Amino acid sequence: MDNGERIAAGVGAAMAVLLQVVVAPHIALFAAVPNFMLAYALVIAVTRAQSCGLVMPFVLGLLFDLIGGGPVGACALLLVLATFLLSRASALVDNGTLFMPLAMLLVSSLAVELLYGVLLMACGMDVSPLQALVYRGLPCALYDAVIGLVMFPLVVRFVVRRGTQQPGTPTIL
Amino acid sequence: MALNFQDRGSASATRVLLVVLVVVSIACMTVYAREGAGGPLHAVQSAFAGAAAPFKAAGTAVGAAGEGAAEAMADATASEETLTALRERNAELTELVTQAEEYRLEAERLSGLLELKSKYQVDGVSGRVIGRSTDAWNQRVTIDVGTSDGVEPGLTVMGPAGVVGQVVSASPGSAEVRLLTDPQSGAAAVVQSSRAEGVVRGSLAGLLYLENVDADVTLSVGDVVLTSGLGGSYTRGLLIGTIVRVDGNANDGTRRVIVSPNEQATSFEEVIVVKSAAADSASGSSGGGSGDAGSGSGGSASSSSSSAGSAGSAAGNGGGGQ
Repeated sequence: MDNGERIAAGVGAAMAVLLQVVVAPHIALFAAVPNFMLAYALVIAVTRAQSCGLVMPFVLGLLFDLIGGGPVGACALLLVLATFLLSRASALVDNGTLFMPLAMLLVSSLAVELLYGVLLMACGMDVSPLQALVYRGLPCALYDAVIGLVMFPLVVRFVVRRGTQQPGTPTIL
Repeated sequence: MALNFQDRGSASATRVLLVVLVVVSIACMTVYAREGAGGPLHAVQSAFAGAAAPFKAAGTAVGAAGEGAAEAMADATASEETLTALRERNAELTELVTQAEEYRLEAERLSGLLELKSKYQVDGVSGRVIGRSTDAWNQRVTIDVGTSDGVEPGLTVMGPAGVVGQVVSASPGSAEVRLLTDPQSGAAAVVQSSRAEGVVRGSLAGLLYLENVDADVTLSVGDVVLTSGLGGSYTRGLLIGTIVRVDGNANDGTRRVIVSPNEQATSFEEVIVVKSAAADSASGSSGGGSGDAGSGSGGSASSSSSSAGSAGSAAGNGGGGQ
């Protein structure tokens, strides 16, 4: 990732945080609040499969935890793991079509939302797993995937500059 | 070859970073779960919530603008002829009527709050809702009064129709209120007619459940549910809601009781943070603990009745929850 991409990715992350605080609470559908930070981190992982960093998802997850009311570290942990695995999977199975990244986006957002529910339950939230799945996990994952779908072309257009680096060069950020 | 070596180096650095970040995240979660509500991570979270409050307030304005845009879109799709004929004549009047209606509704809400305040002889501070939860798993609102107005964690919050939640964190200019409908909420409650005690808990479905009620107590639809004040979590004697559904009969261990919540998170804009109420001061109880349903320390029920004791302790043992 060159400097220009880093700056663009940073600006995108800042916008995701701002959208989460300012816009997300007002576009909730049936109690499902979209997670812009999760969607952005996952889209970056899919589009920058070879050079996706871990610090940005960690910071985004930590901010999500600190601004929201969940246990601090839960979203950070899941975002770090999800982006790491997603970038590896994306590098392996990306066949150049749009379907594959979108399918991975949907699956990973579902996995993150469900695991987040599991972590909340482990931290003392007294709800049944079925309730967590039906009332939060599934609707939120679908909403996140839609947000990711909207973000995908924007990230490709403004953040990713294909061909500016040698393929297969991993970076930290 | 050199490139491969560099790749391997970067790849291993990434793996090391992954391990470090995972360990840090898990350590944060562990500390957060074990520390009390006054712990350092809770304090940092509270500070961040305070810092985010102005942005949330801006979001409320954005939300209102969005509603206006939606209305404008609806107007734009109406017949152009009709719109042209009506637009000029009605533009000013519409604006005035809208403004007057807004003032009327606000006055209605505020008068409802004042009525409630005088009915329960509540000593408290009123505030406006300026933000709502940024995530789906917590049902909270941000209000525009904080520690500089005497608001502190543990105080009960009332809407125009009764109790809506409890302050969980406060900064000088704002406070976070966990709603009763949050799955991590738990309020010690009493059914007004039968004096049966229990705990009202929220759920992800947005419903309130009355739990831990003695099996031999008969409950009926329409029974009024009040805060009991046990455990010191919520101020005593305030309206929570009414029973709207009872699945099962008395002596049925699996009986499920649903209480209608006073307000939905999206429906109230003004609240009163209760510092004390007449019923509360009469009993000598005060809102000080946290009503988390999660585990933690602090709060105790001082009742000779076993069910009352368990209800109070279950609702008032918070402090260490989210």
